[in-house]
Amino acid sequence: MATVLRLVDLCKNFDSTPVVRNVNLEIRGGEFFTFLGPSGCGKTTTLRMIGGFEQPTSGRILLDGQDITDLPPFLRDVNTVFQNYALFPHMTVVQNVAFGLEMRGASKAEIASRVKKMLAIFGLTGLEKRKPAQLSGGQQQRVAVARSLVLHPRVLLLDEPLAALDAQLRRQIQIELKEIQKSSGVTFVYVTHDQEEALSLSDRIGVMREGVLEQVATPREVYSRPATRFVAEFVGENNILPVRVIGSQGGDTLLEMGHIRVVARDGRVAKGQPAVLAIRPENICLHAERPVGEGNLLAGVVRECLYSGTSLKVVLQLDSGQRLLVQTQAGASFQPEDRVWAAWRPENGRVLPDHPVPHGQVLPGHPPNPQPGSRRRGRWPG
Amino acid sequence: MYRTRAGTWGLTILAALVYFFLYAPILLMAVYSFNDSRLNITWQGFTWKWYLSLWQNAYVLEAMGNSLVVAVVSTLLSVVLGTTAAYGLYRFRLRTAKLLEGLIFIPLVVPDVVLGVSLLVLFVLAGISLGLHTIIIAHSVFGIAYVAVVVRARLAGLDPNLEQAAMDLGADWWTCFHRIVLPLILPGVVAGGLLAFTVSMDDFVVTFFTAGVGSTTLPLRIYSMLKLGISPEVNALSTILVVVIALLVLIAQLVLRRGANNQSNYVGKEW
Amino acid sequence: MKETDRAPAWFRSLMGTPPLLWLTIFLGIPLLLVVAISFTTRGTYGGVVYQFSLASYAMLLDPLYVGIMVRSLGMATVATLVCLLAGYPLAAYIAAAGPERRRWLLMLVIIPFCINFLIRTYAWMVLLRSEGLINSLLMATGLIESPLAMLYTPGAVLLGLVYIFLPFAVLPIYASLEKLDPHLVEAASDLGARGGQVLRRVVLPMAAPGIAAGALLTFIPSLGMFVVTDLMGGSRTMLVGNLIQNQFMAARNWQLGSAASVLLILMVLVGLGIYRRLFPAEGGMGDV
Repeated sequence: MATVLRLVDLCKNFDSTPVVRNVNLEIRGGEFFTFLGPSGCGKTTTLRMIGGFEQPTSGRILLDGQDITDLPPFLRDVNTVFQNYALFPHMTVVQNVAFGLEMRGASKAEIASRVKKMLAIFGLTGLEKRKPAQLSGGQQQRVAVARSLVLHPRVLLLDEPLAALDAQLRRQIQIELKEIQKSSGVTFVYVTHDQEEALSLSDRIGVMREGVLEQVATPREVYSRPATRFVAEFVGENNILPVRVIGSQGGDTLLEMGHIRVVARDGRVAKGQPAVLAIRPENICLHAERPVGEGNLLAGVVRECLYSGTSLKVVLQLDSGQRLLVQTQAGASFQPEDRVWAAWRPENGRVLPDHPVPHGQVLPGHPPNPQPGSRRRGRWPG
Repeated sequence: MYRTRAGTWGLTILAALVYFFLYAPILLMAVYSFNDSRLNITWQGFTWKWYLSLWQNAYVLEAMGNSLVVAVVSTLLSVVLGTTAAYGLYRFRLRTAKLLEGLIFIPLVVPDVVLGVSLLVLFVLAGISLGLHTIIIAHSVFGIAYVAVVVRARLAGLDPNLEQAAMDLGADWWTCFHRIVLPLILPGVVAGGLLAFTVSMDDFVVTFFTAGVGSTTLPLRIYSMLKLGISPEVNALSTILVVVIALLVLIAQLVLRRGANNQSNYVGKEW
Repeated sequence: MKETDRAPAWFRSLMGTPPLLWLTIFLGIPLLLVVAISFTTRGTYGGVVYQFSLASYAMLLDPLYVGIMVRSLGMATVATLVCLLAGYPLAAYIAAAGPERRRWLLMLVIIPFCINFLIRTYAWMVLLRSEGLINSLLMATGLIESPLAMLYTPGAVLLGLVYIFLPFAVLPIYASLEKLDPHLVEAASDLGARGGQVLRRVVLPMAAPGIAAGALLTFIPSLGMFVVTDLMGGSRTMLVGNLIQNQFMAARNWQLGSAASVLLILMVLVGLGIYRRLFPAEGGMGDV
């Protein structure tokens, strides 16, 4: 599909501190695109530059090939759903939704019919006369989206629109949003720090870190083939094990972890470079007896078993001292102090260039202690 | 708050004494306004005559009219200039922001007598004759400060996203200001205007220096009556004003409370 | 984050310029004129001769004027202290009341606050004068033979100042006490503090900004007050406010009046400076 929105070398500094660095991106028509990253990564600033609320330090923004970088917000055919909704508190639901059409000078009849249709789509019929303060959080959220979508913008920008809602309502509205995006055909550019939300909603995800767009890919690819160590850590749970690249053999990369050799099918890290091996917990098999045959194998002792209903998470302490998180079937019977072997297939290990995580930095949404059942964790502390 | 029983009693007595101190003189003054004796000392019987003679006192009525004209015009000026100053300071990084902030702050801290003489100096040196117009200008100076302070407080509670949302939906700067910002800060604008109006009606010191012949306001008239000495008419006039003020405060109180109740109704309907 | 770059110039000037111009002309320039005139020479007939001179400031060093300054400072300080001592218990009493009673009690403070101070001064004049109620009562009970001279004394001026500015002290103190979380007091007593200790260690430090604001709101206007002195002090109690008023209205010595004004402003600034130093976060009196 054709490109709707293009960001060219987009940079933004706040008081000479770069918050967005050289972002280049093409967003396609009808796409659900998500900027994913921890708070402070520059995703919201990027969105606000597209919306016209921040002036880029350098770079261009093109909408349908036209440069809109210097246009004020009211001359851009993009609309924003704000994180706190920014509903006009002195106006009713109808007045809020009609506001944009009114600004465009639409006729009274047209405004009335379009607003009515919009309210019906969003299940807001009957609340027309209410003021925002008289609505529930979910209703406010729907009004905010309806208010922007009624204008049929080329691109709808959504800045963490579900952050203020409780978990159950959030899941429900996620489904609604996805349906509305599909049926309306409007391009959505979405910002969130919630990787699960990004994975389930998006056609494509752009993962940002410290102002840099680290990977742009489909959810499946971001999850299974993270481009950087950060992406591997931030999206889903991952075991990050420091390794040394010692060579390659066919399509495989030979790695050394301490004295143990392991093999990974992919890898773009040259010999000698600092590297890590990322393995998803669910891709590791646990064996009570040392298995025979080929494959990567690490020995360790069970330290902790966390039962979550659908699965059992086992924390191993490897012989090398590192910790390894393994997700196995709920029925598996492992006990603390059991000696076990962890095995995984070469294609399930991803070799990534290492980058030092700044000392003491805890990524938001990544509590330093593991929590049972939590899928929001990136890196397993090793 | 945690207190001993003795402490509570002590506090109650102290508070009662302070209230007595605040009200006894005013109440006595009011009582004596009905006393049928020019000397105002011993009670000689109830009368309305001081109020009647007040009603026939053309000077007082004229002064009342002058005060109203000054208060209305200076309040209008203050509301417009004070609101734009507050919005300008809130919204833009004006190059002159520091200066403007300073100028708004000055009337709140500089003693009135200095404000008064400084304006007198300006008017005399500029050859502007003193009259109602100079009083209006003088009152607008502190009126702007009061309005700006109140409106700024209101603006500080305004969600900046609202303006951005309005622009996002196609409103230009002016539309955004008068459709979104103004309705939302209106309570602040009204409150600031009421404050400016009250202070203007009440002001004596600055008016004293900027009034000319024939532009006597009510406080100036009261002052000259006081200078002439104690008279039951002054008691009567003061009593009227005290009653008016008390009623206004009472009304304001009731209105504010209704507003607060409405607010909580909103919250109640939220689910 | 404010987006300031995009507002068109016309809109920005519409919002910023008129109030700036107005206040510059009618506030900034007049004050500068006063400062400038304080450094000029007095003409033979009282006019302004634009020639640099420190004569007015030298004149202020005269014991007569030094006395006035000292008396003004002293009077304002004592009035402020009395207002705080009387105002704190009242504020504490109101803050301790239930929400409904509190509204009414507060209203009873606001009403005198709103009544013109000339009227409130007058109320005391009626009481204090020789033929007034107090003297009449005292004479009737035979406590005194002849009326006491109460009006037209420094004591009367002090009383007038306290009476006028007491609500100015109560309101900010109340505001700070009202914000005080009652749990803090409970926590302190839970941790073993007794009544006096709770007050000293917890309540007063938390109420300090309000007390200071109340002090400032009493001190500054007391310092410049000339009407109360004029009406209740007679000719013997001259304060700096009266000095300024006299020089501009009667004596026609603008230079001396301006110099006294400059001095008054400096005194206010010192008071304000102390307040700002003590409570940098409060940002002045704008919120009172």
